Amino acid sequence: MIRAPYGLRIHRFLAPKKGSQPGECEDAIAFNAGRMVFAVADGATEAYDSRSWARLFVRAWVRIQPPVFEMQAFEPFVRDLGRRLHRKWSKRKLPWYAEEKIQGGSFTAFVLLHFYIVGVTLHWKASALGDCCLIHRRNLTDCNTFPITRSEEFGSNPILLPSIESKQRRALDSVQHASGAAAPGDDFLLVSDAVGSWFLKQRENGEAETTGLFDRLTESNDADGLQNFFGDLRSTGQIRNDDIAVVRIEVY
Amino acid sequence: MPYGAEISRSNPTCFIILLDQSGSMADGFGGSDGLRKSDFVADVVNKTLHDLVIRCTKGEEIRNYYHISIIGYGGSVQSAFAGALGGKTLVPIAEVADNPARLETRTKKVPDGAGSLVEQQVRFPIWIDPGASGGTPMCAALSQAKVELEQWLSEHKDGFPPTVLHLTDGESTDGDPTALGKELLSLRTSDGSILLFNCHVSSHRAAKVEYPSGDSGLPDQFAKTLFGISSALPESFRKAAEQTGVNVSEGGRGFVFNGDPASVVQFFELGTRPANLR
Repeated sequence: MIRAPYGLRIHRFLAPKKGSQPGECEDAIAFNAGRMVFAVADGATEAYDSRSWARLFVRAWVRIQPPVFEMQAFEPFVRDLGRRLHRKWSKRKLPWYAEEKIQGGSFTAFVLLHFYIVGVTLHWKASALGDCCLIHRRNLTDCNTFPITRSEEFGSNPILLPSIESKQRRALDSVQHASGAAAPGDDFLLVSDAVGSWFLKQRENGEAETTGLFDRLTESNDADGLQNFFGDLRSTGQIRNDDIAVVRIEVY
Repeated sequence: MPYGAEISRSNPTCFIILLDQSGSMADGFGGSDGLRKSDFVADVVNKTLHDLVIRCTKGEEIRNYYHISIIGYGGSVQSAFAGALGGKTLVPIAEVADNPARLETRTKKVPDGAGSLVEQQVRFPIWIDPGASGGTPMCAALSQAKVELEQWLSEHKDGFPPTVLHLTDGESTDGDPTALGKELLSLRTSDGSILLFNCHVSSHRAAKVEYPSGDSGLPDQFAKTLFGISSALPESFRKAAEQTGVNVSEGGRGFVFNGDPASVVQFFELGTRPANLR
């Protein structure tokens, strides 16, 4: 558990899909507790080296000060990151298939969250593209999700952030934004699509017990417990076999 | 639900391409003197292998999601791989990727960003060369496919079922393929029966039939025979077909008769759709 200023308790869990190694996980997590910035990204499985793109993106975003949300700053930020990634690839001697796949670039979904204080009130601001999701709960009951609100919205072909500069503008037009105020007892989850889809299904079906266990495991930072928990969900078909990224922020 | 198995390195699937390389494949499509069927089909198969390789490319690594066999039949029945893979069967896709017989340079037209097309040089890997000689020993080819399938299935009992893509331009010259086709269709993994899709290309000008759900509109007994040994397209394939603008009714089979060049391209695109990659 990492303690941040302003009463935030932060928990994280990152795991590859069953059958993959941790070094192959294409989901990525980054945060800076002091600056109260949090990011989750989910690299597209079928694209080239999406793990690198997702990790580069979240790590760079939580470092930049002040956090970038507005298009005017966001566009040059992702353009430079994309160029950096393609420069890195171009320095290597690659087999024909890798050279060819690079031409399609990488893609990632993301959700970004920033807390800030105005007067005595804690506010939050978020951006998202694709099927990474922010879940905002008040006392673990009232629940708002962003940008996806229903479980059936997962599984379509979402617009993702491309690493190729010429493709970025169109994708950035689809970035969605949300904001609000937070209070003690609030709880924020940043999750990639597998957990987002599962979580929303549980809410829709009124299965509070399962999400309760998930909450207890994240609160206690029980990585082994979470690994087993998601392993059970996979084996019973309740969650897709996909990489898993969870950042949970409790406000107190 | 059948045909829902994940395709992963530990649980790969398999494609067997059965290619008619009989003498008549040297004729043009639809009786024309232009595009030779054997040349065009070889290009489509090479492009299909290229696309499968690219799909499995993750960074600098290829993941072995697929095992590939290409059986050519005409003057003989044998692996159609050229170069270092010559004679090999059920080749992991990473080995396919690293061993094209050669890399050719070809020209393709790409958008120039200003509404026009410009020519661009692209590398085109070649794994198989065109072949056109002898008769049409379809039964021997199906027997060879069965041997390879049984070998593969003994090691992959729970995988996404293998897909056999069969392309021919004429009737079998070594007997009725119905019994062998049915034997292939009876093979299965725990995820479902193997998928056998048949594409017939014609040397004559004739109306084409694509992915029918019944045989009543088929022109002759040969077409009905091929229809009878074609698998129904699983739902995920039908959805994929819809996305490419092809409407396949429920019960529609992986079967094309009197196909033209566009049909052949589409047949291989649809037939290599299993994409639940993990």
